Amino acid sequence: MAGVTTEAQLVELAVSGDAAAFRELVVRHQSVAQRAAYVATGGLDVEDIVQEAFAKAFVTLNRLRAGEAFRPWLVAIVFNEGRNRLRSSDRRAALTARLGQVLPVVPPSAEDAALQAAERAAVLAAVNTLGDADREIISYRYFLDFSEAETAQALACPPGTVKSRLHRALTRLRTTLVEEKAG
Amino acid sequence: MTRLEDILRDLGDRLTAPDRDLVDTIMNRIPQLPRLLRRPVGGTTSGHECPLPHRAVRHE
Repeated sequence: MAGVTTEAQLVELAVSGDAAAFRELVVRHQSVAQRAAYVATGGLDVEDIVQEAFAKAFVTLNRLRAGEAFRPWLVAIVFNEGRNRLRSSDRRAALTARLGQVLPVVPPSAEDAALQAAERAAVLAAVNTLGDADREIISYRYFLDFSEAETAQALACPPGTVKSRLHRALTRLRTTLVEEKAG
Repeated sequence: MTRLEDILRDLGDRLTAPDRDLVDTIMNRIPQLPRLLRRPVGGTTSGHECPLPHRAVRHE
């Protein structure tokens, strides 16, 4: 779009009904939306979730407050959609199987490979047993590489709260891992 | 960073999420939404439909 470079300008234009501006937002953020949908559901309904999230974003774009970034706001919508798709426990149980299957292993040695793969699998399985809030904050920080500020915006909480929630989520994750190992 | 956080970041690096071009698919949905959401604004005599359904626009 000629003369338009900032996201804030694109959002303002899109709010006023400029489809080309919204298209540019889609171009810029479709990758992170797909990644978030993938993380949220283990690959279930990714394209549907992303389409639905952008459609909702278009309709509610005027709710994005001045100074807020589009990306965290969009990803929060994606996670919400993902949660809705995972309401049934059958789908939730499939999370580990789906995510576990698509992680490639690049080992330095055969023995290390086995140890590292087992370690990753154990951590991933433990993450997928956590409650939605814990799993999402871990996803924002480690799987989507969101900053603390972006995570705070997405979760509509202060950065300090992100720190404390993340600390609690990691503590629960460690507890789960210890219990799994002992059991 | 703790070992657990190392592993979590490693998991994040290894995720092979889909990354398809969905722009046209998404944009093909968007034009339909304003038509669904358009409502005549109450109090107008012309029956003018607000072109910005997601904003509350006061019509004089």
